[in-house]
Amino acid sequence: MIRMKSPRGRRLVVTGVMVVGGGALALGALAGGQPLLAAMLAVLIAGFAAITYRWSGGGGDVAALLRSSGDERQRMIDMRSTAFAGVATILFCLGGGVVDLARGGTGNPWTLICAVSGVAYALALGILRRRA
Amino acid sequence: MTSKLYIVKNVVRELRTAGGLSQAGLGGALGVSRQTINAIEAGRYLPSLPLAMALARYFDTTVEQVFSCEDGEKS
Repeated sequence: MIRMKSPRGRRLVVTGVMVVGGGALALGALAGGQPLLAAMLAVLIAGFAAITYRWSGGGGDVAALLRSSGDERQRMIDMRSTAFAGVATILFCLGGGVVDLARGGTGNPWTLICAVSGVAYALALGILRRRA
Repeated sequence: MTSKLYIVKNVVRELRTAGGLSQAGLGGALGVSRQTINAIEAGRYLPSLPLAMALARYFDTTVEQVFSCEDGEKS
């Protein structure tokens, strides 16, 4: 029996995640005594969320992924893009750690992020290779 | 060291146009996007086995009739 996921998806999922994440950042700024920054973050996130919601109503590959409803090719693109973003982030953190160590610092939090990435990758590898 | 290189060709475009279908129509029938049908027809994307089987079933033929593989060598 052939089973494939329906292309219909949830348009609000990515927008909701963005609002919750951005809202948490804004609340953090507010709790840290930076109301102006909190307000700026809230406005910025609201703008991005509105753009995301509008874009997710379209018919292209990105719109389908923003609705969390991509087909197998779109999910492959999403997975490769996520992996690329992960590698870019790790390289950025590695660079940050090297610069911080060269300046006499401890390398934190850059090296800590690199370590978390490495452990997460090893864990994912261990779990996913059993499933595939 | 040489490794096998497989070149996969398909006749999805021919089957689709013979049936008077649009890419969006075929994609809708198979539960994939128009862009994915376009990518398969252009040879930019190799579908999964379930999707290849769904394509073959849709056109009432076999996977081998839709997709053909040519062997090559890559050094």
